[in-house]
Amino acid sequence: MVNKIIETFDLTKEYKMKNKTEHIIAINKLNLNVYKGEILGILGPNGAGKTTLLELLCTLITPTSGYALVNGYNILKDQRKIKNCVCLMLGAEMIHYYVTGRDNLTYFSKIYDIKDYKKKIAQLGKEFDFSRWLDEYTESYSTGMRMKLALFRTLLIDRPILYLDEPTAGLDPKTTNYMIQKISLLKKQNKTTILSTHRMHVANSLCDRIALIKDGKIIKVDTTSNLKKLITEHLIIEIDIKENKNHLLKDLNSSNFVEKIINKEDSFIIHLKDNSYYQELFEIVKNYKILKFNEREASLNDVFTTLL
Amino acid sequence: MGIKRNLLKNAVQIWAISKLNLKKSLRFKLTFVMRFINPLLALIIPLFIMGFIFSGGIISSGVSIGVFGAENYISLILLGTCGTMVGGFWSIYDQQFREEKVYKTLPALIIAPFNRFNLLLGIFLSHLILILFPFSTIFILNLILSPNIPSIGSLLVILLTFFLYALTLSGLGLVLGVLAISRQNWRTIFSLGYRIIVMFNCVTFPKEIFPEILGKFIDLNPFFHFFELNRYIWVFDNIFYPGNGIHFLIIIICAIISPIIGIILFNQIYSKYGIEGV
Repeated sequence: MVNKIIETFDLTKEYKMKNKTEHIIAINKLNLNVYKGEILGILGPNGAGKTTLLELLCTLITPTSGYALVNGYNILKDQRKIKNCVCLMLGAEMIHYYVTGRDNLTYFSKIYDIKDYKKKIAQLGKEFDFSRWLDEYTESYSTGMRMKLALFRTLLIDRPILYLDEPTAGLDPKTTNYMIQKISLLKKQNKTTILSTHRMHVANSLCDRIALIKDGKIIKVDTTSNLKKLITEHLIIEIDIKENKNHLLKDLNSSNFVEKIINKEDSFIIHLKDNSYYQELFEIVKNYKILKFNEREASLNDVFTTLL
Repeated sequence: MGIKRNLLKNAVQIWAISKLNLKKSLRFKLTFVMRFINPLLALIIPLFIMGFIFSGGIISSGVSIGVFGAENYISLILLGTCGTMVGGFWSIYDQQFREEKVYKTLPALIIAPFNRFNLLLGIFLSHLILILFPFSTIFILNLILSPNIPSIGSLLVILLTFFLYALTLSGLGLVLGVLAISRQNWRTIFSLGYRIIVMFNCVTFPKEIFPEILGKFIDLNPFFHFFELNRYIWVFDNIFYPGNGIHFLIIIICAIISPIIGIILFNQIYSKYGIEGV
């Protein structure tokens, strides 16, 4: 992965607030490289700027300052050329209602000047196991089916660079796995994909690298394993407690070896500064009725909650 | 890419947009039927009022108001109804863009490598096809009911005038459409301005019913000239009837300038403000 296919240079997008005097900085001097053929995951909390970044990179909106090169073309000057090499999937949106799935696909094939679209629709219909739904009206589709149709459309348009915004939002685990499987095929086709998602296991399963984004800025870009290493000096302990949860929380907070506590309904996830404090922690918790005391490896979820 | 291939590609894209619009419009059959019923409903009140006026209810029978008289008022109201149907071109882009904005299909078009003119032409063509049947029905009905049947030349000029009216409204409608995408508040103000002007279009009634001072303002309303020209050509079956020249001039200027201004404003407003709320 040496060929940069997307580069951003201090890319910035500001929006005016309602009072017209304040601004929201959706993307803040963002610098990012994406390499040819990789799947780059964009992870970040709500409002971090993930969708704005994708919209900037496909020339749907223009930056306030800075610029980006997509396939060597400048987003400020070469919009037309960029449009010929990118495709955007905005979740289950961009679907026309009151017509069938096939009407949608045919329409977009003609707009995007896709050759042999009938053959491709038939082929993708089989691959997606979607053929029998193609002639149904889209308003009768479930969320999962709309998402499948949106991905179907994106693959039909067949561009070298794909931007997928939340392609698994609102899907059940089975359909999510199905979408993961279909998106993973893109890698074999040497397509470059930027995937924005909230779902850690989706990012974990699909992405070569992950960019963590917060308040419009890239916090870190690296492989999943390297990102996990960033917090592996922390010892992560999961504790399920029966009673006196607040007391334990107080005790843990007053200690000097706890880096972070994630408070869940009946449990805590505790990040210890390092392994040497294991015994100290044990000394505290032994006074409580503990149902579970597990040490585990850092997950992408831990990276998300720790770094973002 | 060769010119022939490029033209074919554009034609395919325009037809794709039209076809999708037609499919959506024909999806709910009753809505489609209402396209016939609405203009017929709009006929009833003017027919009653004009019928009352020309039957001696207000003025002596045999007296005309402008070109409207007892023998031809039904025909002129039908001609005006055809104009009302063409008036639908004002809102075609507005409706389409608002729908595309809601379903977020507009971004898919904006990032597609195709000419925006194709989108505009596609929407124009689909509306043209949709009104063709009800328009023709009323136009033919008018030919049957009219006390005089204009010559083929006059009829062609009348149809051309309607087409130029459609072009003029499309230009303005394009501005309304882009405001629907980018500046909703401005859209409301623009729409209100249009509605005030339209009140004085004199589509199914003569200008002469208004006081003289208001009549002078009506002369400044470009839309009025489309209908007045058509009435004069229909009644006198003479394209070169005195006074038609000024109507022709205004109509042609409007049909050329309006789409150009519409496209310029569409590009400028969209480039500056993008899609509001997206």
